[in-house]
Amino acid sequence: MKGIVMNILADMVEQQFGMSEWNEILSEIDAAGAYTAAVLYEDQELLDLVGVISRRQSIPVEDLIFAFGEFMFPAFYERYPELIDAEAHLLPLLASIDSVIHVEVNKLYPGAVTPVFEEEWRSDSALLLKYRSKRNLCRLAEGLISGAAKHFDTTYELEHEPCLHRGADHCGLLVTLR
Amino acid sequence: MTDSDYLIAYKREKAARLTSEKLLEAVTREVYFKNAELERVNQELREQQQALIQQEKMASVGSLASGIAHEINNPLGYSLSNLSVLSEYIHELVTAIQTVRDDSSVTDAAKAPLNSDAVIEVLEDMPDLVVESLDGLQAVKQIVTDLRGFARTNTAELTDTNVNDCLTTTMNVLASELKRKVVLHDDLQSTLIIEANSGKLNQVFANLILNAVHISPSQGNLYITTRDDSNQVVIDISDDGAGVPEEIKAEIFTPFFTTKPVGEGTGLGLSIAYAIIVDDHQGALELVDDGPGSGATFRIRLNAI
Repeated sequence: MKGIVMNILADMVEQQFGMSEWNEILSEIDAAGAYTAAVLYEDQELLDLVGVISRRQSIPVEDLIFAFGEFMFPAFYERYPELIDAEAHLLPLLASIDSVIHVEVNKLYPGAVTPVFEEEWRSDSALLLKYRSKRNLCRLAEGLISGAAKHFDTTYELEHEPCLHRGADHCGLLVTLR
Repeated sequence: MTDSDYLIAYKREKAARLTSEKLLEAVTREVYFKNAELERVNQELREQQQALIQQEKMASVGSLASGIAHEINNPLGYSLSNLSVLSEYIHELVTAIQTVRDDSSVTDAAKAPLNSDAVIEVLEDMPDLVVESLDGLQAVKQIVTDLRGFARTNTAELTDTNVNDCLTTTMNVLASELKRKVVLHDDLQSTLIIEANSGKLNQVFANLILNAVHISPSQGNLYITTRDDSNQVVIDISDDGAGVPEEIKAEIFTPFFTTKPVGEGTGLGLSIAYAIIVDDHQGALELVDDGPGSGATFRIRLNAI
């Protein structure tokens, strides 16, 4: 996982629970905590941090990951506004994740392992994203979609079927505008 | 210093880090594009270098071939001519000897030297020896003709040409060979007219077709197609043989390179075809779409008028 993700997690914890809490969390897993955006860190380190936050704050892991995704979207927007502003609506932005956003991510962060979001338009107001990643972070994707919807001030419904956590080879995330 | 002071300093440092990261990203993006550009230019240079090497090989072997062809041609000419005359002389000589041997008025004692085992063997072998020698010299003559073709000493004028007509002519000439060894699938869709030397184009087509036939399995498929692509005529000649092995791809247009057994190929066919298409007609000849098991496709591109 690239350091930028760790930095955004640190921002979320600092903003919502305070700097002291972040320091405590880091010390629990004996992490140095000095994350650099372009450096690649072990995925396990992020999962360990999430596990500690979940326990200390009594937030179920799945809910915490979703909240992290929601927090991550505006953090991305702050760093890369031109990528987000290239699309005026939620669904075209989601459809451009693989073809535009991940291409840009790989230019900036060579070696980044990005998930696959294969898009399939069901109608003008319904987009199916087929999520594939060995990290199985589909709840993070759900949170990012929620964060993006808030950014565009859009309401939507999400159907999540099938799911990697139930043995499927991908997660189907059907986003339908209300 | 109070906690508040530390917090302010922390936020200041954090803002500085974000700015540094953005700067780093801008530079990374720039490096990415420059690197992509460098890779593209490098690839172009490598291709140009290969083309230059190929051109240079053609030019040097071309002048060498021209010289060899010239030097061989004269002695070859009178050797062939003399041997043809000698063949007739031998026929007359054998007939005369046979007449004497059959003549009942000549005594057996007088005929004895003509009936010795050694003389009988010589008389039997001589015609075959001459015929084999003539065949050998004819083969040498063919090689010299190929060498001259490669050196392109006899360039002819280019005229308005329909490649479909050329291919049809070539396929007609090779009809019996094709029928015997492969299943031919031709689809000649090109409509454009080009400026070409049709004789030389026929030579190229014949060479590529015979190569494909040679490499094809028994009753394999041979595909010959033409089509228009913008202002170019594209000719594809494909087989479903074993394809061109990776290790010889770089050599196939090199003069004297051949995979055929010694005596069965001069290794000049493809290099001559290359020179005719690229140098004489400013076209392109390349091996495309090949791979073990899927056969080879030779593609020719020629500019329309």
